[in-house]
Amino acid sequence: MTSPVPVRYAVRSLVRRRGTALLCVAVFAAEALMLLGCLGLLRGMRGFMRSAADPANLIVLERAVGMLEHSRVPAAAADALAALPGTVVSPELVFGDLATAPDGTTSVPVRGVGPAAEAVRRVRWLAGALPTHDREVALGDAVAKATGLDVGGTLAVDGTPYRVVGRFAASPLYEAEAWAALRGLQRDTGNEGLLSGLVVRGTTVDAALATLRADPRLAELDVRSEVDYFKSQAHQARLFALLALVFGATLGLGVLFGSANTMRLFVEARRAELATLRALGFARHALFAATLLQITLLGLAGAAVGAVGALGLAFVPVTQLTPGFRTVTIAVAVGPGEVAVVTLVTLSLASIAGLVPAVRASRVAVAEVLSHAT
Amino acid sequence: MPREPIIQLRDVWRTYPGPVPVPVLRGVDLTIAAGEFVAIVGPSGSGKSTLLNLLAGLDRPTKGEVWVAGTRIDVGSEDALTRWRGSRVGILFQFYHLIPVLRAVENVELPLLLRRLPPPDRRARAERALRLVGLAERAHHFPSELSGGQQQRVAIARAIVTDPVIVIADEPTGDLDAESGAAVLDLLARLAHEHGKTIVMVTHDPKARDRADRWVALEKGNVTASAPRPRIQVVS
Repeated sequence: MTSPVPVRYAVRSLVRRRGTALLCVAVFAAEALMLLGCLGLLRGMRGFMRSAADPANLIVLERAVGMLEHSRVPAAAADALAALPGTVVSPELVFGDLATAPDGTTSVPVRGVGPAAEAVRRVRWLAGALPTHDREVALGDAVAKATGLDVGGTLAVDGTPYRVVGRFAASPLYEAEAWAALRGLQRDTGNEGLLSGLVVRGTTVDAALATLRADPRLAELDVRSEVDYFKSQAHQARLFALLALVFGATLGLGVLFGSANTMRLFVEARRAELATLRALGFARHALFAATLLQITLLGLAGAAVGAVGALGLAFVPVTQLTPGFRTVTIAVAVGPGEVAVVTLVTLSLASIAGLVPAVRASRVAVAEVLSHAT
Repeated sequence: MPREPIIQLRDVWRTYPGPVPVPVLRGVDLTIAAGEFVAIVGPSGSGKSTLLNLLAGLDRPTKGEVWVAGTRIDVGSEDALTRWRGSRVGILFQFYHLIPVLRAVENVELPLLLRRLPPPDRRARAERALRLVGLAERAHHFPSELSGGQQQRVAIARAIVTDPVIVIADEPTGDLDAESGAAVLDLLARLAHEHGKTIVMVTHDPKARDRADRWVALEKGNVTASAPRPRIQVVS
């Protein structure tokens, strides 16, 4: 058995040819950062969805639509379900981008709600209270921060000025909305008697469905838990994951070729050293392992740099990526799991990229190289 | 008393393949005794370096037998030859070929990594070899911090640190000034005469040739002459 080439030689060779080594690290770091960004955003979106769903709530909406913003539910449904004992029903009318901030460019989703909203939504009031009169609106904290509006200000809802009477903290989905008094909003938008859906608490899906089925006018409505509702909304997250996978695979191929080529140059530059080691008695597999070790170290360094960069991404909010493309803020969530996965992927890419250069290193023509190299 | 042969080449041929095969060695027979300092001389293309590569186990003959210290090295696996080279041969190159990222003492230690020696023992042997070549005080310098002559002396220390049976030197003074070259030749002569090493050196330099115990001339792949070192006669 022959001894391995000393690690200090492998490391110092990288340091000596730091230009090539840094180029390789940069390639791996870019790949790691991109993958971490994608995975972090995916995790952020899932967390965003989870935080919006309350397991105690049911959502009633038009069966054929599947999305509150596009659903139309007759007011009779609210009356029917409210008759169930112990049930709280919060009727809602939801618009994707009805209001415009004073800057004229930021669109704000508007949710018309009644007094029962406070019983079904986890909301904490930072200032003022839920609007109870026509042309009053409460702003989610994210909207208030994005628009600079606060209690006392005015928000244009479908061109009509609404007075801001409250500011609230909630899950990110709701913090990106403005909540108006339901009846006034129905009237101002020409949707009198119409709702987007209902949030129901205190009953079961089966009981709510049975109640709706009893009235032929409500036969087209569907009931599902809020958790299931947001799961179904997560299809965009799945699409995003698929895109990230395709993007990551493409990037990975580029990284493979880029780093393999860089390592090939690295090996070419060290041919005389490698031949010397062979002449001294180091076996081919020792040089193979040393070269693979070098690129693995570069991959590890790249993954570390990428991970540090990804920590910075956590402070960069990403907007307009939720279902319905609302203006909401999603934090890129990079945890140890994502870092571990990306490190593993980067090391695998490094190992694959290093194979051909490592074979070349192990097969250097000793006599020929040493007789010509200076 | 005649010394025991340590190197024997028997009808050695080496032909480089190609569209037109190029025969470089054509039936070389050569015997070198243990402890002998032999210079191989000849014009460019005569086969000197090829012969040296065969002796170092860096190449294999097309035909013939190469025996070094009782081992036939032209047969056997690549790995076996590599192991043999690591333990039995010290090699010197014209351009030193020290590893630039390792200090002098680490360069000298390199061949010892192939043996299961504790690190302190390795370091002690490397330092001893550096003392022998007069470079103990430069042990922690990088090659770039040493002169050409000093680098070649470090290379000699690296070549002898494993206590090899033969030392192969390919133009060891070819890249050195006269003074450094003379110091390297002195060192090689001392290794042969005081430490019993067998030195086989390829050279173009007549001064280097005359420092050897014997020179062997190669021409067109054949040994054409072999003669002992000329004795200087003092005429009174």
